[in-house]
Amino acid sequence: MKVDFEAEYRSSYGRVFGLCLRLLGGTVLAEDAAQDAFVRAYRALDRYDPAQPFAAWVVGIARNHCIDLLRRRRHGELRFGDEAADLAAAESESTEGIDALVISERGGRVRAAIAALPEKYRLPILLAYYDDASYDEIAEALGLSRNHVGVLLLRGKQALRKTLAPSEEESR
Amino acid sequence: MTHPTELALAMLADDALEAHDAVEVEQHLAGCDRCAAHVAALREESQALEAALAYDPASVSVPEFVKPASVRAMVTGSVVVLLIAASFSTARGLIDVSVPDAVKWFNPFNAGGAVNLLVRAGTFLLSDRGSQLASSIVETLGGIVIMLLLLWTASVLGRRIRGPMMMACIACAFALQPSRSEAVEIRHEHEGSVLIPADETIDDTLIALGDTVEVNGNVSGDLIALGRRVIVRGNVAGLVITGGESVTLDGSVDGSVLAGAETLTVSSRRIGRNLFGGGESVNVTDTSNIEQNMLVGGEKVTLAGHVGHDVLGGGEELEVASTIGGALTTYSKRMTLLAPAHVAGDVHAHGVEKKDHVVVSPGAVIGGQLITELDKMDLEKNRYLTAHFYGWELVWLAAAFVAGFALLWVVPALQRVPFDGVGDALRSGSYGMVALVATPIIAVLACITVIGIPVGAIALMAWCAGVYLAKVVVAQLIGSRVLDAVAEREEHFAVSLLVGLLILTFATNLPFVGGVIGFIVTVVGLGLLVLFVHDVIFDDESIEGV
Repeated sequence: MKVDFEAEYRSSYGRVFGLCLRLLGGTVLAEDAAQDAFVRAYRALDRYDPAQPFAAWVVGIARNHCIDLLRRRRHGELRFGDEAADLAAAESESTEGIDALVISERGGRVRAAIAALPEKYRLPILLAYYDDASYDEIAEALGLSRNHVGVLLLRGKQALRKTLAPSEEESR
Repeated sequence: MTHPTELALAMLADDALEAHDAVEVEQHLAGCDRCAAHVAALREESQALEAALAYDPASVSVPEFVKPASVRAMVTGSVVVLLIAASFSTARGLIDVSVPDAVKWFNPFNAGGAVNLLVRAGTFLLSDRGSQLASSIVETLGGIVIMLLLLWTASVLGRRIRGPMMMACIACAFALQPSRSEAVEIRHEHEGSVLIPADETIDDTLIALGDTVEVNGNVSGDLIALGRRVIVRGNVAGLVITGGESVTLDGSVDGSVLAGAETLTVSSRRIGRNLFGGGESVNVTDTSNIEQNMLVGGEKVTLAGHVGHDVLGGGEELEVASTIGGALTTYSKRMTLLAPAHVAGDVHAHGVEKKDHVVVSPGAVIGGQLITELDKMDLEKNRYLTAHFYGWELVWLAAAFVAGFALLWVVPALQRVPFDGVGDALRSGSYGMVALVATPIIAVLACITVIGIPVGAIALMAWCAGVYLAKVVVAQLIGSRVLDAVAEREEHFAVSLLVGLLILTFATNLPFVGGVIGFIVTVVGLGLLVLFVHDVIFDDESIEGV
């Protein structure tokens, strides 16, 4: 089956660009990375399995490409820290303060708070909640164990809750 | 009752628990309201996060997809360009369109350089001109390799550079460049001497390399002569580039002369344009006649003869006895104007040690004024108080802004080069240092082989551009970081570039440390450029595992 690349490109560009934008931060960088991802997909078309949705395939390429770019920014290495230490910290954290309403009400602030998270929490959160990637997919893309992904997501969300918690004045 | 861990609950909420663990936790939830409520809150939180992060794909305007050039397309492209150029060249040979030299540049039939060599190689094959054949083929192959390299660069960079046509145009311009002379003749003797006898005329550009190079005959193109000892007595219609331990120029030259030697002696009865010379000892004799300007520097410089326009001389000791149509400007500790000297304009003697180190002999005539600036005065004068200083800084700033804007517009990826702190500064700094030192050396070494001359020239040009643009890259980096910190929204890159350039201009002009800052900025910026080009060329594999 032949793929209509142009049509697939038009229909999946938005999603790919969005992912790159969330992961890399700048519009220019995202445009570049999205183009790169499609160029790679175009070159690898013979390796594309039509049983898989095209968008999912190219999003996977974009995800890997963006992680690669981030890795290069960090001198070839992304550090995700010690799983056990993060797990211990996560379990000792209070379970209170989970308030989905806070998040829904403050879309802009949430995005800013995520952008300000340390990379090791930011990446898994973006991949899980923007990209809709499964724990396994995230684990493979970042070279981690599935459990470690869970720990990082948990810690990341705990950090977000703290940042987004209504301040004393607001809650009064 | 033991509750499941926080991690287990969070993973359950994300449907990420292994099946048997999930069953276990679900069973617990059925009997524990507190944990069930917690998981429900976590689920809601995840959904809210998804909603907050959602990006409306419809809000993105989809740019046109630029297909990457395939190898086949590149090869076809190269062959087509070569064929078109070759046919132009042949057609020109048949028709022999005759146009004045000055407008040859506009003539589309004027295929030059690499293409001419290709066609000539074909004719040599037919006419079997033995010894020249081999070098012709080598030159032709060199030309083809360079063209392929350019096309390849165009295809690699094409995606990132607006208008891949830009690079294609450069490649075509290179292929179809006007060449004043049809060919280059090379005489090369490793140890012996190259002698062009007086009765021999070289109809091409001549490149002569040897221990001793003696050109007594005439050259109708340019002359490039390098050797321990170089003597040029014949007439050269073009430009002369020469260097060696001792260089003597006697013949007449229609173009300019660029000469560097330990001992440089110029007594040409005519140099049609300018003389640029440097050496330990430079002697321009009284028989020489330079129609335009002269720029010379050396430890001991003695100038006589006639110069049409201005003279700029530098050195420890300068003796001038020339007739000068314009002004004489010198930078030396001692300057002596000897008897037959006649300077129509002003004489500026800069950097002299004492007032009495400028001597004007009786009989020497100065049409304008004699202005002496003592070395110490230069030091004492505060440059920050002169309008001249600010004027030039403004010019520098404007030029850097225009060049930087063009660069960042053409290569948008440079608007945000990845850079994080001291580690990146050290890394790019070390690359920059290597590029700064090694490039000119490699370029000069490349120029020793004939095929390497264009490669060396391109490398040198790239090096010069890189050193200049290094500041732009760092300025943009600083500007965007500063604006990120203070501005609410993302500013246009022109704004961040200007902010960065202003900061840099200020920093590099600080007393005492300015020079060091300037050097560091150049080295780091050059390194960033090198790393950027490296990243563009060496694509990675992100398809594996998808």
